[in-house]
Amino acid sequence: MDVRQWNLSFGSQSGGGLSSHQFSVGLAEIRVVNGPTLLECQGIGSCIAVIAYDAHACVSGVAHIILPKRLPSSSSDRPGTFMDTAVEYLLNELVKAGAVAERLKWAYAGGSDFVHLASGASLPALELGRRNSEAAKSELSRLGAEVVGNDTGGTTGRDVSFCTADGDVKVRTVHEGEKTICNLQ
Amino acid sequence: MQPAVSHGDRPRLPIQAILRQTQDLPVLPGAIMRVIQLTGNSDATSRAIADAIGMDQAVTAKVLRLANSSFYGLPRKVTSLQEAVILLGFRTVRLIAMVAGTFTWMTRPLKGYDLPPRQLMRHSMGLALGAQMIARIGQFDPEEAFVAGLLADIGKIAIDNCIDGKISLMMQLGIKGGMTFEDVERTVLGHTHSEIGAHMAENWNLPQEIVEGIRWHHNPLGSGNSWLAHAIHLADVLAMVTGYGLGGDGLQYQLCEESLEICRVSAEDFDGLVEQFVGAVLHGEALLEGMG
Repeated sequence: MDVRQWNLSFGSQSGGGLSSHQFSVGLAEIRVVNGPTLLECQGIGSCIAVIAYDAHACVSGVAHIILPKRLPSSSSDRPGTFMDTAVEYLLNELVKAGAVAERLKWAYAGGSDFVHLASGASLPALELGRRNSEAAKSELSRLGAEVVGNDTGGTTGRDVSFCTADGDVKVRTVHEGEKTICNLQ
Repeated sequence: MQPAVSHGDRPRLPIQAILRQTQDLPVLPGAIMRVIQLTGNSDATSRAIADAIGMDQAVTAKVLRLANSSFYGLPRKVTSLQEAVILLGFRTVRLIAMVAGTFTWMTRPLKGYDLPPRQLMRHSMGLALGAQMIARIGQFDPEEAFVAGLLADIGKIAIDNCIDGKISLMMQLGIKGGMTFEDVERTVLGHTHSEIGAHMAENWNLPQEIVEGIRWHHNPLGSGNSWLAHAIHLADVLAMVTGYGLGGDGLQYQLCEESLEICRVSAEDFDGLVEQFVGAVLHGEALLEGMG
């Protein structure tokens, strides 16, 4: 059965309830599913959705990550908030759920930058999307992840989804519609 | 900051005409208006506040549900409005009443803006909680900031019909021209959602500070340096960056540097602000739990 058919709200205005196999992954959330599923992150701005899938074990997961690294002042106890804690946490949870690290295929999307100083001056602190994209690349590389696709940058928000039925990672923007950025099978 | 508009400034319809086109235009319940007036009055009693809310049964039910959410963590279930006012205080009940009074139309889908059901409410709660957070940092009035932030994007409800089916073209126009979404709105409609929202708030006789906060939240220098417009502006930046209730209106967003100074926050600590904002909105989601 095509699990993507269960999608009631992605890319539509229906906003109906989610099926028991469909999960909307919110800010700083990490979700791992053992079995057929449709995982989606709606309204990714400068954040990054990191997605991984072991097709053999049918174990998948998504992290909706906010910031590149934990700050000295950080009080958040959510590992999904920071790239330098979220990806490793996601990997460990996937393995606990039955995935084999070497079989996992990975993708990431997001990292838009639409906030600029009105004066036109440059301020790297505001380029959160770029910093998040670089951190995702770096962290996945550090963990030896096989990254098969990414879609980052730009000045608009994205909806990101992954479905085990076809293995496609899809990105939707208002101006370009939906496109498949890679396949994790 | 540059004036908000320079691209084909050509009003097509007067604001009143746009509002007339909007079926089922939001109306702030009379009970909420009375509560706003009473909470600004230091002589108001808890009984008077409870009586004002009690005039509207639908609002009353929502206020009690919100008061009993885990957000407030009350030790026991509140069953009367007067009890809610005594336990939570006047100012908190004012905020709850605002959320209760706007919930029905804030949770509608806005097809024109590509906002699914509840997304405008999420974004507006992000603005409310973000402005409240910024106001605390800047040592301003956090409750005032919450109310103005909650209503900052009400103009989108009125414009939504007018841009239905145009959002993709509007986005392409903005991307090609390097325009902010407000610039695109003005080019296509002749008005922005901020201007229309301020007009609606004026019609509701909301305090002038709130009206100006709504009007200038994308271009706060126009407000004559009202801290409220600057606080909502910064909250909007944080909501946009984190995609909190983000619809089709991403594009270029110009951050007013003066807002940072006026609200006493540092751009260098942008990540810290984002983390605080995310903490506030995730905690705030508990307020809306059980609201259907």
